[in-house]
Amino acid sequence: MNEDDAVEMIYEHQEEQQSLDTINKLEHREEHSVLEADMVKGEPLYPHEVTRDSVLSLYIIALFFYLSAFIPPPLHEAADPTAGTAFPPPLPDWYLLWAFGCLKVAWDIQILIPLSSIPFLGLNDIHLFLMTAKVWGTLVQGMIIGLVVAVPFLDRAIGALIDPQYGDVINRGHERRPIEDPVRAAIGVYGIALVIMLSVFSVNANIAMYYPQVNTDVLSQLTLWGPIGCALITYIFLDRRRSEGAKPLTDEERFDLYTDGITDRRMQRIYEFKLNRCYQCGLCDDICPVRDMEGENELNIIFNTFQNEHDGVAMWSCITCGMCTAVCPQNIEYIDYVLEQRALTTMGVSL
Amino acid sequence: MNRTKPYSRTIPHPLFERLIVEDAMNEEKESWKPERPHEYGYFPGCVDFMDVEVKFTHLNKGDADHASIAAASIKLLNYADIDPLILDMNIFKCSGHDQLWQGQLEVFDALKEHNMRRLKESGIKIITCSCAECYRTFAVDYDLPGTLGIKVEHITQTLQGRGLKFKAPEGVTVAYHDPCRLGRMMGEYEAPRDLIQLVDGATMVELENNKERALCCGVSSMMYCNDATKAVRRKRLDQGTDAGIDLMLGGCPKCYMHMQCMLNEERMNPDEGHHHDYEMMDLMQFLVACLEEEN
Repeated sequence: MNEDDAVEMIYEHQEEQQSLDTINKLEHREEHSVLEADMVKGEPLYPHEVTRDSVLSLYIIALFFYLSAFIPPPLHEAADPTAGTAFPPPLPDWYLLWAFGCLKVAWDIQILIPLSSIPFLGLNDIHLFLMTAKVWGTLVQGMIIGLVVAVPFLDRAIGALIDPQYGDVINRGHERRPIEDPVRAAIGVYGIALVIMLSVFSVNANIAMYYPQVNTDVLSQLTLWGPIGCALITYIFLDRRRSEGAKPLTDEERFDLYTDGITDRRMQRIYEFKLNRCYQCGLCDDICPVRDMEGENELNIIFNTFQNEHDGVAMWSCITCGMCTAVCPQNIEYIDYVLEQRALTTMGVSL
Repeated sequence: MNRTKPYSRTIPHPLFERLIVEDAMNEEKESWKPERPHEYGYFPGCVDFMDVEVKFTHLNKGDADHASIAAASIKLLNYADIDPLILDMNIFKCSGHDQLWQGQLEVFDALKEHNMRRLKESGIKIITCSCAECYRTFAVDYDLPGTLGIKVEHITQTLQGRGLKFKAPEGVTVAYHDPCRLGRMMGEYEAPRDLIQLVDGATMVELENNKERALCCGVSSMMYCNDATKAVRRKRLDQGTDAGIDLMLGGCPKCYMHMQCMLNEERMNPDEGHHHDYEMMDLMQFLVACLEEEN
């Protein structure tokens, strides 16, 4: 066997080894993949965390039962909001006034069965108490919280009933600006006004102490009609603006609003405003001809700018061909940034 | 971050850029008036300076003739019954595109001030450029439509839809190379292609990357010419070989300059094994050649 044959044999052996390695890697790719390794870190929710949390919760509940069973209550009887013994009456904290107001405006729900209107029997009327004011007022608070929780579900259900294609609102979202949907905006205004009026109503005794003419009747009428009036005014105003042809703002108008509203840190250029929208998809990096030629894996242009990590290489080796902007899903004008950075850097250097 | 490759970070000053900068810093105060009123103005750009550059330096030993782009453009405009006012370098100065993109704002502002004053004195309604970079600079950075009310057009847009007829000398296969300033920045992809479609006997093919995804010629604003930018250019030229073309047409004199430089360099060094068997031409040069053949 001469030398050439030996070299050929060695090459063949090496190639065979390489192909075997490749096949091996492909077959066991999932075991060695980074993603897979990341996923097994940590503990699963069930049964590990569920068991631990259940044990802790049950321990604490048992502790409360023990304390409440063997230690007598230090306070006396439960408070009665309708008692009115103290004057001025004690009030809860301001952020709970609306709940107190719910208790106060609630009324006894009773059903009157008019048996006396039936002639020739001589029966008395029957007042059937369904709920007392205390129970009803407490339930209303729960209903308000429940309504807030249920809004997304109700919203989607009603939308799907009106327009069957509206059911995929989860994918495309719906209008957020008040002018685009006056009905929802009016309902929101009604809720806020109602909370404020309930809070005002709950301190009716204190108000009547200073302004006797604002009595409970006036306040209850205000609580009933005030929020409805606010909602109507909101709806009429927004609907008129919509019919006048108010359109959603463009990027430039939003940028102007932004710079007008913020005085501490003023954004100087629209690219800076848009640069914040980068979600690091990396399309610019894939398409960049410069990175293809000299950056290898290091020149992730817009992402590095976003992170303030580029060291000037991207700025001077950029050929400003605009390919990154052409593929950018957010339409970020990166070359405007390059233009300004170059101007800032060479200021005073040129001539 | 460790970088193994050295990057050049300086801006070299080619000869013609020094000339333009010297020119920009000499203020001219006296007023000027054209002999007769014109509707159209034609701005040839810095093609004269480019010729000086390639003749004085040994960058390009080929036969690239940039001034013929201006001559061809004027001839085509006359053929389309347009009598343009020639805004050449005796009266105007460079548009300042390269200086702006190199960050030399002082030079750019001086050039812009001079050119705006001259444009106001000239009294033209529409300005047309054969250079994509000048087109972008006038339309966006000068904002001529907004400030002086002058409409800015690329010469392909001016010639489009004027009933021109061309005939190619023989059945040639051509491809259009989109300049970045004309295509991606100004959004004009169709006007040059429409013009090429008018030529009888010429078959137009699209390169692998075209329109929005067109590859760059590699040297924007004369920043530098190094191995990386040459690799970008070679990638583009290879696509031309793959498409089997006889001519690559560009809409920008800078593309013509850099591509032709690369082709000539390859022909001078045949040992390196890179060879592209076709020519680069500016679109205006190609159209005027087809025009002469018909006459």
